[in-house]
Amino acid sequence: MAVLSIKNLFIEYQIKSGAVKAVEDVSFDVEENESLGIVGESGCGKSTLGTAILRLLPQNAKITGEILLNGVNLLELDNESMRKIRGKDIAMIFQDPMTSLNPIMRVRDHFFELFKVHNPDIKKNEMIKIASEALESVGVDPKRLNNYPFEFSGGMRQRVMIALAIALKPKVLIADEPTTALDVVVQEQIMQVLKNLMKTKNMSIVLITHDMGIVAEMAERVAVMYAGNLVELGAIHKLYNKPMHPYTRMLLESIPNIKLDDMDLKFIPGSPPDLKNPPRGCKYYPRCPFTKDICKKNDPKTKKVDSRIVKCWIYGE
Amino acid sequence: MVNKMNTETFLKVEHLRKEFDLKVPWIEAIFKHKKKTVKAVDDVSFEIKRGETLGIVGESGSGKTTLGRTVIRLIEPTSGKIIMDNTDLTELRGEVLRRARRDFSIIFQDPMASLNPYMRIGKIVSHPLKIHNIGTKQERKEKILSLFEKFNLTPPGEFYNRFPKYLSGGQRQRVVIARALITNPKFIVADEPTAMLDVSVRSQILKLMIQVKKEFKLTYLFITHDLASAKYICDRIGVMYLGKIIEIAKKEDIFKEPLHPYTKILMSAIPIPDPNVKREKLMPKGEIPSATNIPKGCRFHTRCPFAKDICKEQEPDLRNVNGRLVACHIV
Repeated sequence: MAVLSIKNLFIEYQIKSGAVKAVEDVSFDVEENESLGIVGESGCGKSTLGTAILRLLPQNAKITGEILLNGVNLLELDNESMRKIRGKDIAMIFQDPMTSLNPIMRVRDHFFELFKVHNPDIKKNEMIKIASEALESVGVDPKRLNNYPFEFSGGMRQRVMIALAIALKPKVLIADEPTTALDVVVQEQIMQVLKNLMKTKNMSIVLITHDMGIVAEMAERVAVMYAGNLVELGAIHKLYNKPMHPYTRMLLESIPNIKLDDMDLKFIPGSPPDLKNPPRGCKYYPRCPFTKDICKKNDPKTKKVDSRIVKCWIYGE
Repeated sequence: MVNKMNTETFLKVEHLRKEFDLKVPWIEAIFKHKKKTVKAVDDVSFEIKRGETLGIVGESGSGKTTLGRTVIRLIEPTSGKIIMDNTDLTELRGEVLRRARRDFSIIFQDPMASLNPYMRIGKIVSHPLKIHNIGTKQERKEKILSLFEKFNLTPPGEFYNRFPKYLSGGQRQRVVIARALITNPKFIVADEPTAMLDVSVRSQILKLMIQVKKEFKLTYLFITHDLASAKYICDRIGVMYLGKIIEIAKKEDIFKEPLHPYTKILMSAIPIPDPNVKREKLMPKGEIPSATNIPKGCRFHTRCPFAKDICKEQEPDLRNVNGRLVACHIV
């Protein structure tokens, strides 16, 4: 059975001038011990989706649908029960390690705060023990528990963030652009840490990123999002070797590579639609090279084609 | 990409250093004459030919941004020479330096932070023209509108009156490039111009930079940590580590056969967008040391997977290996 299952999820942000449809009818499963990548351009709703799973969205976000974690619908839980789940059953690491640690708290106090929420009677010795183990598993010296965040480099801070997220051995880890603020060498080190954790801790990872290179190295399945829709989902090899949705194809082609014989800079012309006022029909048609009449009129349904999910009129009614 | 490469040297940087002083407790400063400095740029020399693009790559904290800013005197160098078009920029002062600034400019990394949120786009871009007393108000506006047209900021008249917050990241970066080009400079420092942008927008901005380089006959110093972007735009690439250039060579050489162990590590760390390719990754030990405490000997030996005894003792100079410059004992 899937650990995490998203069913017909809709998310709207209510703003003064109307509603922004950030996520529209998204469904997918995350299996046990699996790494699922979610990719797309800025503003495609991938971070909103990730944040919604932990129910950390702002007040003006309206969520409908189901988010099932081990069969329990998280959207129906009250705040107190949700608090008990966050950090313990499901955890998240954020993009910017500079702003996601409290600058006036020692690293160990970040851990202690987390542990006390889930177990008010926990002893200090035990807390230090768990925290040290977590830090060790991401390659940080446990002696540094007494340091403040500013005493760490960016890469080390991101390691601390990961250690905090996995300290209570969650089943699912949501990583929202975990390496975007870091440079290549540190990024590589952090990816190694995540890969190791996946092997040793029996944990599923939902990796949200715009970097198709990272997904290729980390994920087993990939979900491609465009303007709030899930447009394609499939196994990594199949999707990269033979993308089905025109957007996936363009996205793959527009990645800068390091092959010297390929000097053609490709990009997707145009820009993503305004989600306050999206186009009728398929949201991608204004940028799509294969647009037909039907694309402008009706939104395509999500179809299952050869063990893949794709949302495009090319693949029939 | 470069069809007619001029062989004339445009910019020559010689033994450039930039040290930042750090605060030392006063008691130590007075009685022990202690001084703590960050050697952000440590004896860097290179040349850029007219019409060439030199890329500078390296990790955060390698000093590449400081180098870029020092070259155009946004930061005062501690010592060294910067000879641009036969003029030594380090000798210019006051008004003369100010006048010289119309010949060179910079594109900053973060288009959100480099545009004044309280100024309309038109005013932002016309500012350099006003400072250098170029044209009348009407002429300036016309020049800006035609530049906007070229940069796909259409309709130009509408963009002219907008505030930065109504622009997307890609559009803002186009405005930043327009501002850098408005005085018809000869030289541009591009400090990670695409780092904050989305992949597809990144390619658009790179393409624009390549296009305007031809049109305006520009020479670029292109600073980036993204080797994939460097491939498309640079002719030569210099690799920086802790304030020093440790390898500098033609782009083709760097990509085909990186010589310095650090360059090899940088190359192997780039994620390859192909799940069928599984590579042996070369990883450095630990993290980049602090620039206040640069290791003795080769500054990379603390992290180098191939370090030998000599690396701990002697600092390697940038030397010629088969026509390429590299600073390593092992190569």
